[in-house]
Amino acid sequence: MIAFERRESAGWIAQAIAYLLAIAAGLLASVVLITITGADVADGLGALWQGAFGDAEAIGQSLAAAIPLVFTGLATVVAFRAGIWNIGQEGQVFAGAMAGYWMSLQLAGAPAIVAVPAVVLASVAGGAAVAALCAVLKTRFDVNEIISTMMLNYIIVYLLSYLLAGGPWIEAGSTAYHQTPLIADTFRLPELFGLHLGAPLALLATAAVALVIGRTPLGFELRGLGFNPVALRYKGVRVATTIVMAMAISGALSALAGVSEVFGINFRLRAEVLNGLGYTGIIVGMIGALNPWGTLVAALAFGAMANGALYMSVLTDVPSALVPAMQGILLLFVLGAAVLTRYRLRFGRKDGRHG
Amino acid sequence: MKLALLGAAALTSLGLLGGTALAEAPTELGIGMILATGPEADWDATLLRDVETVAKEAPHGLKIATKHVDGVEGEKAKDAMELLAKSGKYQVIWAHSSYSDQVKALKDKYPDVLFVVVGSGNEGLGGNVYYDYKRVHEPSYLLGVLAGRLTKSDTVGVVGQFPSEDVNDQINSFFAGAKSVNPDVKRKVAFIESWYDPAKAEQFTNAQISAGADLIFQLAGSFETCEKANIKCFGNYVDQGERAPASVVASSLISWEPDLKWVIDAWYDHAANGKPYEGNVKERWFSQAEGGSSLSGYHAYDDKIPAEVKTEVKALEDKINSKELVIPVDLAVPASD
Repeated sequence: MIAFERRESAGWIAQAIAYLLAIAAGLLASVVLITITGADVADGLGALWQGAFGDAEAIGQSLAAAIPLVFTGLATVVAFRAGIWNIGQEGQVFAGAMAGYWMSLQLAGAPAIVAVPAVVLASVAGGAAVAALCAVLKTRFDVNEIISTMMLNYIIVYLLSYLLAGGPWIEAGSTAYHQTPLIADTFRLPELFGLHLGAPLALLATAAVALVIGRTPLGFELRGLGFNPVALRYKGVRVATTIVMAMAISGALSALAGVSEVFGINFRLRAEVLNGLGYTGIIVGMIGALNPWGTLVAALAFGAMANGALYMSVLTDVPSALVPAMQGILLLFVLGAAVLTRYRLRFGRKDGRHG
Repeated sequence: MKLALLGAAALTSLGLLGGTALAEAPTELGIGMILATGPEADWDATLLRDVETVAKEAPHGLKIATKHVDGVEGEKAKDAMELLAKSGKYQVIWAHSSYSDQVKALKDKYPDVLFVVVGSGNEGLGGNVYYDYKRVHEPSYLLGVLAGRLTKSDTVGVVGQFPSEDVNDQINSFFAGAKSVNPDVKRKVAFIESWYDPAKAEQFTNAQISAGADLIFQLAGSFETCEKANIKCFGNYVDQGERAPASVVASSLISWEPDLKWVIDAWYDHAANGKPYEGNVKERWFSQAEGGSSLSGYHAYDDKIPAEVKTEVKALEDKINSKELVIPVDLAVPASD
């Protein structure tokens, strides 16, 4: 009989060691896989490293890949810490990008000083509104948020599909495709040190979420909601309002991921560049132990891994199908380490007797 | 060895080794490909198949090496293409989907690289960017004729991926073919909103079968569903009858060989003879007569299709190839009746 027991929280050094060991074990398993396919292991791992942190350009690309994951990871942190199982990050990313794009159409011709803040605000409002809708469904009609957020993901993603597939947002012309026209320069997020505005925003958001959760009355209520909503109600906190607030903040954070991908990097709204950011954010937030700074680190690691994987698939003979498999293996080991830092395995019978 | 190479390079740059007019004819070519999805999707699998065939034929005596990167989107695709270009090993970069935004950012930085963008959602950039397109509307029309002749419920369906232009053209000419021989045919159209999603394709196929369709043009490739429901289906891009002989009557096939040769010739002319690149601004596609597309054989259905239908289809195929019959390219978003 094997049982899981909750540990006293492991120290951060122990946690760091656990994660490093997990990465090492994941890499080892990947090496076995690469060897089986007959590709050159040193080449493969070299390219992985080069893409993750190899030079300034690669680091820039890794950071760019991490930015949206910071936002969706933080969105997960805010909701899950409050015990609200928001899995609508995916739809909220889309909603944010779509609201931002809608605003850019309303303000066509506006100067950048107006255009950029308006797009960011509109998108934040869009993401927050969609998430708050699910929160209201929960508080008013007792609709389970897992179901409402999940289902709303589909509705939003397909709404974009409608808008782009012959709908009003499709690029006109003989080669129409499911994407919008290019977004005008004035609406694009300005660049600082080779990274777009999303980078400082992501840092700021991490600090803000850490501050709000750790040091403000709202943060106290959020955490209280996660621990014991009944007790919180007896304390006189309006639980319904807190739930809506938590969801709105979560949705707003996800929306920023949509803005940074569309207005910071790709300059066209199309589904492919947004796909998966929300779902990956849930994993990033979980690996970050629902801690804002931990989530930042996890997002950076994910960004580096994604860019390293790209280099590996372009520069080496490692079969391209192996790259996502390697990512999956690394992820499993890291998740395993996350569990082991919080739980210990106990062998033997539950009642303590042996045999 | 290195010194000798450096010396040669220095001499060449001084014009002492023949100058530009007599640049040595290249013997090797690297083709780097950015796939739209991955080798599991027929759109990409056919390219991988044909690039190997062309490599074996060794046009201009070239030793051709290939490399492919699976479905990367947006900025990541740009990074992948730049890595390919920077490595110096790939002189042709074939971007197998809508990547003209990314190519635009790279084309002037790597002026000797020949870029190819393929299909819907691209912009013709000219210069060192070639714009290739695949039109399968001609064999799709022939499949439609078969459907119009073979349907018993007078209801035929199409399960497509996205309503994009190079999907719409196939669907529209399929129905045009069906209506040309059977004006009573009712159309059912569904899009799974993905380039590759077998589970969704199955759902939509089942929905169309419930709605009475007894013949389905499967652009999204769910042939097991046809088999289970005991209805007939058509495939596209590859010869699906080889994989699912029980349900697939015929398929519209594509070949990238003429496209690849067109591009390789352009690159060779540039590399060997210094001819400037002349990338096309308007999309180029190779017709059925030019070998860009074709109708498959009937496999297990060969003796089940009435002889007069087969003769009719063959006659139409010949008429299309001789340009006696021109199938219009209809890009409108198709809808169910």
